[in-house]
Amino acid sequence: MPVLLKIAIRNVFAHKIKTLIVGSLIFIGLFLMVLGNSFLDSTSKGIQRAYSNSVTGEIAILKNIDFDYSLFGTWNNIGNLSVPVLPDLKDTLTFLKNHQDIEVVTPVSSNMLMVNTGESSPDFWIMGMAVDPESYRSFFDIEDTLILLEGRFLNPGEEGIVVSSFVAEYLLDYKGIEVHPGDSLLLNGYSANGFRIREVPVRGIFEYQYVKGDIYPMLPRTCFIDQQNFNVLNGIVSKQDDTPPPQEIEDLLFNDSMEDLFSETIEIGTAVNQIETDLESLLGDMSVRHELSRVDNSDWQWLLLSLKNKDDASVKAIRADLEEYFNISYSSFREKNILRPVQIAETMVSPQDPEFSYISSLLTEKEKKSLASSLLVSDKSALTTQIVSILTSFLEREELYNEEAFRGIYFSSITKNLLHKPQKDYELIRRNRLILEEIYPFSLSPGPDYMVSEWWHAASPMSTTTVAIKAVMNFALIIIFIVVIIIIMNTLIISVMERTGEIGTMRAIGGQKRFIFYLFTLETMTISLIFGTLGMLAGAFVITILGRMGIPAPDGSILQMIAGGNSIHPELSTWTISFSFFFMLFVGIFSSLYPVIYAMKIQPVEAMRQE
Amino acid sequence: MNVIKLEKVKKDYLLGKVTVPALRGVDLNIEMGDFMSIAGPSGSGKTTLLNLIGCIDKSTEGNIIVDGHNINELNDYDLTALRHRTVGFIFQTFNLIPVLNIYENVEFPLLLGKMKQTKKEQNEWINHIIEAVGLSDRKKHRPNELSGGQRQRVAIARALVTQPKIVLADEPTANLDSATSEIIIDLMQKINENEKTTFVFSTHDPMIVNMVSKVIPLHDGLIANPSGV
Ligand SMILES: Nc1ncnc2c1ncn2[C@@H]1O[C@H](COP(=O)(O)OP(=O)(O)OP(=O)(O)O)[C@@H](O)[C@H]1O
Ligand SMILES: [Mg+2]
Repeated sequence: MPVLLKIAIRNVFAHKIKTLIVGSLIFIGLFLMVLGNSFLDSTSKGIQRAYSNSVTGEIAILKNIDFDYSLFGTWNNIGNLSVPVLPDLKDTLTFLKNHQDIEVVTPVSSNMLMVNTGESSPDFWIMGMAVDPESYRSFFDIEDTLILLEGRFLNPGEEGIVVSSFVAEYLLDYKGIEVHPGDSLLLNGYSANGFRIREVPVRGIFEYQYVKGDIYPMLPRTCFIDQQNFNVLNGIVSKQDDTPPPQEIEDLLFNDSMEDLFSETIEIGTAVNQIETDLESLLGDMSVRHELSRVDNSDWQWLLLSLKNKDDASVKAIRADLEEYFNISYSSFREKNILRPVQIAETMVSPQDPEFSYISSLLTEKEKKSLASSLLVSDKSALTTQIVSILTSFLEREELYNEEAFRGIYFSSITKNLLHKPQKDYELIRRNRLILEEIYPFSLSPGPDYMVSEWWHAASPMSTTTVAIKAVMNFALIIIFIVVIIIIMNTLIISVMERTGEIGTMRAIGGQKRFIFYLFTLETMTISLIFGTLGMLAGAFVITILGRMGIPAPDGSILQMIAGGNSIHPELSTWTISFSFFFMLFVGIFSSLYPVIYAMKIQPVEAMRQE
Repeated sequence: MNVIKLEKVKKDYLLGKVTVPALRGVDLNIEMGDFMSIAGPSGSGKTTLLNLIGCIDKSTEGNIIVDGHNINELNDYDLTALRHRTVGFIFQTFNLIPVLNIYENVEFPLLLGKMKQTKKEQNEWINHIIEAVGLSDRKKHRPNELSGGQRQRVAIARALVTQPKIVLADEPTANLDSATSEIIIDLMQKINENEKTTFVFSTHDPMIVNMVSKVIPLHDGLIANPSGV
């Protein structure tokens, strides 16, 4: 009804004080909102830039498992759980290195390690980050992203550790241990395979240039270590070595028994020296030892990818591409519970396995019979083919959605592949896959079960300082808007009370309740729209100017990390504008809700009481 | 024919915990075309009675039949619609909508309901009514630019614009000087004669009492001596 709009708009001008109070609050609110959101936008972009340039790359690949891992432990920090190594790494690396959109690939692994500081004081945990020095150096441009305070970065094939300045200072201040290049650190590692101890030479002391770890505790404790020492400390044993180390060396290095190492008479240092001496006498010369410290292409937990085109859209596109290539979309796989025959083939390698009997318990009599007859076949690959075809028909019959069967197979495959059977039969799986590729042409992928994630996954949400900034800012915004809504509500209520006679008159001469509702809602919305739009325009204006000029970020300040460079250039996004717009509508509607209900309750008889 | 019928109507007001009886059992019939006034001293219940007749308040006891509807049985929506259709109000304080000009104020009640005429017919009708109350040259003015008597005439025009069966006016002359009062009452009398619109006033102004065709004397919430004059 145009009369409503006419009255509403005229009232906006007629009740100037009310309009000014409500309007200026909405103006300030939206001005701050556009400003704040634009800053947040650009700071989160800055942090993303800082992290992906210095720590994570744009895309990180890890084994597809049921935990959310970051490079700094699990997302929710539940403890010292090690990420499993990536299977079939050689093929995958070859593929990724030849990928046209990928600039550099570098493998890394990370886990908590303990610095052994002597018996009297408690030990000190660091985050050991195993790197391949050659690719890591070019990947992160370490001359720019790392500040080397002492010594140097690791050289290819060299054992050693590059200690963060935080760790070095901590060891000096609290443990009285001076750490310089040329010294050694005694490191302990714990894993499912037992307790390890290694003495690792210090090569350098560094600091990150752009990422600061003030908010996330693990980042400043991160130290670079060579892969060989890392794997030994974490009990990662290579399965693809053509020549496994002699059993005696294995026993010595990977001794599960603590008592052997720490018998009452032998001190830690002596025990380590003992190992070294035994090694020397066992091996006679350094050749086998060199063989041990050979950095091979297998047994890494993560692959970090640096892309040629780093904008958000192309990162997302390449991620999707890779997921498809690895024939797994992590989320859809989880959501749809679709089981890929490849996984079954991996799991169902032996009829002796308990999960095999679980599956066979789900089969029909006829399927069981044909399975039984197939078990008579001596050729293992023929057996797998049989099993796969039987299972496939079974899953098709169940339309691939049988929850119970899915869980049975899925979890057994998880537990078997990841936990109980680290030394799985790669040769057999490769053969199975060849068979399956004939049956299922779409499953042609070099690596199974890879999870392709973006930088924030590897950085862990906790390290993205924006989370903290956002939380603080959202909290402040919520408080501000609660106050704003209360003041607006109060102003509107007073205004409604003042106009009781007018409302009563409208009701008395035939205005329905909903007329009153529309009238007052329209009035508030008109004020919100006019002043909110002005506030947004003012915010946009300020942001545009700041974006042109840039806010300088001094060297070494937290601002530099937020900026991901030397200045912040806040930008206006359509998201900010549209979010602010809808928020404005929300504030308008929400704050006028109670006053409007109050107005609707005014009785027509009030018209008589107008003075 | 009765437009309005009151049967044993009582109205109590609650003042805190005290019950104030404003009407104590009123029986009243108002016929089509009546030009009448409720008269009585201050506090006798005149306004209360007009509110009940005009369906903007509900009785505590007894039935009120307006244009064939028992208003006790109507919900808020239907009651509002009945008011819109049947009753025109002339408030003592005029109660014009301050942000609308004279023309728009008179037009306003028509916009609250369904349109029964074409836009052109409606405009002509509004202009005709404004002319009838003698304000043709003030159509574009806001209410605060008019004198009390002029505002009262706008209020009359607004009450008449929907062609209601009954027009209620609570002390229509209370805020006017006696000369203006006479002009106003005269105007309503003419409309009553020409359009057969029913008028009910409340007043203690002897001039009105002299001009109306029927007086209902109200005393302490009771009709003392129903009689025509
Ligand atoms: N809202 C109310 N709450 C309580 N009591 C009321 C209310 N309205 C009226 N009354 C009481 O009801 C009685 C009748 O009041 P009413 O306003 O109908 O009188 P009136 O005849 O119109 O008087 P006046 O000539 O002064 O306008 C009075 O005693 C008055 O105090
Ligand atoms: Mg009165």
